Amino acid sequence: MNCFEQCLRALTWAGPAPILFSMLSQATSERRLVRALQRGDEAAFDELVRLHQHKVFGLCVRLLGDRAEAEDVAQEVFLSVFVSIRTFRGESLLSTWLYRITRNHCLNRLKFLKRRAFDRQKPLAEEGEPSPVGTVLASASPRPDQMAEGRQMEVLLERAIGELSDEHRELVVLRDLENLSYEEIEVITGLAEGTVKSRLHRARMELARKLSPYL
Amino acid sequence: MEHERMSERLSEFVEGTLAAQERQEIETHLASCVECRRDVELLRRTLSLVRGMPRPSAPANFSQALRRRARKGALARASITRWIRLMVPWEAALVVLLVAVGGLCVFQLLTHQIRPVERAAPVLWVQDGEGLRAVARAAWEAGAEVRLLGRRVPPDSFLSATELEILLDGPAWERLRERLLPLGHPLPPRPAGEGLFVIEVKPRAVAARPDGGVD
Repeated sequence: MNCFEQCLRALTWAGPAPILFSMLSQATSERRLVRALQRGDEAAFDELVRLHQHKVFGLCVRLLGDRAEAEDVAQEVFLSVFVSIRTFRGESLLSTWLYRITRNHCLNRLKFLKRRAFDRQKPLAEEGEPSPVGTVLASASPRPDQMAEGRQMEVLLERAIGELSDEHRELVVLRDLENLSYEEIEVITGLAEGTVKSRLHRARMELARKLSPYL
Repeated sequence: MEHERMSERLSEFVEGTLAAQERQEIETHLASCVECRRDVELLRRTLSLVRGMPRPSAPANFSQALRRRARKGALARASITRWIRLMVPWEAALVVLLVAVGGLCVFQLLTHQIRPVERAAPVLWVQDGEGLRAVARAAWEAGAEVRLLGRRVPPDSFLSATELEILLDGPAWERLRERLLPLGHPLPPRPAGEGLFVIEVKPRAVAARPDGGVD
């Protein structure tokens, strides 16, 4: 869904005027930012990084389960955006496009990590099983400081999400952690609406069962 | 079956994204299904936990690290470009030329060894399809290759009345000449030179020639 459609939707639903005004102004500033990026304006790249670094990094951490890998991949994402911004046609929101690139980079990194784990004769996660990264995350004991800070539930939750298969984890992350709409998730993953909904339900149930002893 | 269908929609029910009628159906089902009521409660608690998780923030120096990496990449690209610019006028052009000449020599050598130059030879006229088959049999016996529409015909294949080509070397020419003489198809002496020769064989029914024999 592009900016124009979002505004139209807001109009159709007769949303409050301030919200509509804010969306229009957001759409205009995003178009301006994209044009500046496409001209190769360095200040625009700084602005893009400032606006989206936490979203991109957060998604990487949640999909990869490792902060160092996530930082590396997040940097790669911005570098590839610098190169490919000319191909962005504005058919979706800039943030959706960024999420899509981030998700693809993370999947490639996960494949690479699985291959490397195989080369080093480590146990390889089969299709549908937790990824090596997820396994590492899942098996890692919470640090004492985390436990002391009362973050036990958060650690358990991170561990349970890490145990999900790649395809289940990405949907839980995109919908429930990044709070994206189903339309955005369809654009990002390339999956059909029905597939997203049924797979997400299975992922949530799997997560809920893992957490049930603690709920 | 009804239970399966309902349980697939529980996620959307908990999210509140179902239409009023579907919501009503689920509520009716929940009133009588303990298992689904338990799943709904589990999903509610899980979603509430997951949605409350804080987003990991990018490291404070993320944008500086990204700039450093981008500069390093740009420097590497610039040095490759400079190297190509320096190389292209002389060394690179020389390398390309040598490779091209070498490739041509090798190609000539290989093609000459594998397939000597084919020399165009005369047309051999025969009376009809039977004559054509007799000539083809003689060619096979003489160790020549018979071609139909440019493709090799295996020995003793049945041939209908059409044009043929006989591909043969010098000794095979002499053998074929001996075999054709009693059949009434005089073949002229072998042309001078080495290599392979091609004789076209045409039945008169296709294209008549006034005096018969070989052009």
